[in-house]
Amino acid sequence: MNHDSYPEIKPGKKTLKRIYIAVMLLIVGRAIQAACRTDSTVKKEFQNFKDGFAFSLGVHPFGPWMIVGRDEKGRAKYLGWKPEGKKISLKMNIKNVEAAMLVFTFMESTSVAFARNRFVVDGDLIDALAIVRVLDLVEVYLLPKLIAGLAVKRYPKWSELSPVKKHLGRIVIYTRALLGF
Amino acid sequence: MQSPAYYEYLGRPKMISGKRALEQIPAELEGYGASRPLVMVEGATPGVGAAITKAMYDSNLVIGALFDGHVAGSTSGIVRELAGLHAARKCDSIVVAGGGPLVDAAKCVNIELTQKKAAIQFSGENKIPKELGPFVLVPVALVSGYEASRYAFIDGKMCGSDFLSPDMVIIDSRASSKAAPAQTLSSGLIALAHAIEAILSPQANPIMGSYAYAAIRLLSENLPAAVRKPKDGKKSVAVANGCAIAATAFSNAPAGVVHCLAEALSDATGVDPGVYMGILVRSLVRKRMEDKAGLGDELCLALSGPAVYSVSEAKRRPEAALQSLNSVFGELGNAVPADLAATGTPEGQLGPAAKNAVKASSAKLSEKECMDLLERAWGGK
Repeated sequence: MNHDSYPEIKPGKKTLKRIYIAVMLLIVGRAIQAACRTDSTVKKEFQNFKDGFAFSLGVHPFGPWMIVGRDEKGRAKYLGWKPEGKKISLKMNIKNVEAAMLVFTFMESTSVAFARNRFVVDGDLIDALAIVRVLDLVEVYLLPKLIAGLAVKRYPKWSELSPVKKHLGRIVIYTRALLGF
Repeated sequence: MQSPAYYEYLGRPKMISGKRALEQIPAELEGYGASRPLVMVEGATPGVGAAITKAMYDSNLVIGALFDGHVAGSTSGIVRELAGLHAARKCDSIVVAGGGPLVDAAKCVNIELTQKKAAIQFSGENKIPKELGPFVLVPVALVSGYEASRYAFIDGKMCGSDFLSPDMVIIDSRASSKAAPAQTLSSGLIALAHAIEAILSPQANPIMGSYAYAAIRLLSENLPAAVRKPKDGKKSVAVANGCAIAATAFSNAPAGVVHCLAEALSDATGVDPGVYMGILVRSLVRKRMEDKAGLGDELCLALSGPAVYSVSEAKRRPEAALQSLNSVFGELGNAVPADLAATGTPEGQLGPAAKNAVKASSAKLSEKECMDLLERAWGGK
């Protein structure tokens, strides 16, 4: 057998997909920060985290990531995309780029991806589930109902989130996310 | 349900199936501490090697070597050469995509590398003393029925060991839809026969019943469509699941009369063992009904499906089960001959096949029982 016929292969990169995921993570990260100042449920979830809590959400093993923390007032704060040098209490990594694409193209909801074992969670599972709830709510604000219905476990009823509150919240969250405050 | 007085069940492999399943390979291998797999794909199946390579993108893995040659048979020679390639490239795991001899050879490479001895020395039952290296199977068509099981062949001899069950079976339509219709048919029929025999086995236990049930339902509902449309991703994934699950049940049940006779006939005539198993398993089900040995509730439920089973009177359930089995074969049409005579098997081969089946079986088969089944199958009864 001629070994040269059977090459060693160093796998390449899926650069375009990683750029897309990085942009989505940036939008979602800043939207979480904005939603925490706009929506009482998101605010409450963050107030329940311990002081100094920070979580990262990204793709194993090379990223991209987003890091969101809890500030001293109990509000969410987007801390950028570099986990290096940050004290992160909860690391949520999607196992590969393709699984991340399923989540960020809304072909698979975060909770379904969780159930399908596509995440590696390093930290408290209760905190991770709270983050999944936050992500669901943020997606409801960010996306039209048709797409958000695919992305979240259960789309909120009118009694839980009225259309007026949702649309006003959407405008505020998009504005805050774009301006970064 | 009563728990048997005693039973063992080997629940390997881990199954990962569905959308983007191939991309899970790097993370799973990482869990085993492996980072340089030897990837083996059947050269005649285009696209599978490329799909696996692409699935490794953006991971910590490096493919030590991508073997895409043709393995006609699992022999000591080819196993030694592949083990040499594995060692030269400092690989630490094996990912094999395909079926039949390629998978046998891959399992034997794993034996040689881990045990540091020729794989042929481990032919027999439970002779491998310790765990082997990480082994991932990506089914294209599980044409022998042994691929996902605890068995491997080298130089025509069988090695049986719990350690030979793959660690993972990754079922993805990018691989499973590459099977030829004849391969899908053969693998499906073998798996169906294995699952039915597992339920009827004296060693049946609750777990084996669950596995066999799942395999029978998956195959009954999807095999005919998968044979008609082999490129249908969903159907091919369902059939591959049925085959892999049936192989796990087969790992835990002694080879039954259908399996042993089909292998003996196939060895003598060269006809696909799947075709023989398809014919023989129908005759076995009919025989059990006529003998009043019974099919048992579990098999009736598995063959009929919950909808038919639940509306059938208790005494009519076996008949309904047989009708359901017949309708599966009806959908397969001429792809499976109605009887042994139609396969072109010489009638004179039946006696020797019965003798060989008795010799090869670990269960207590009698020549009379084998001949009886063969004669029924010969006449399509």
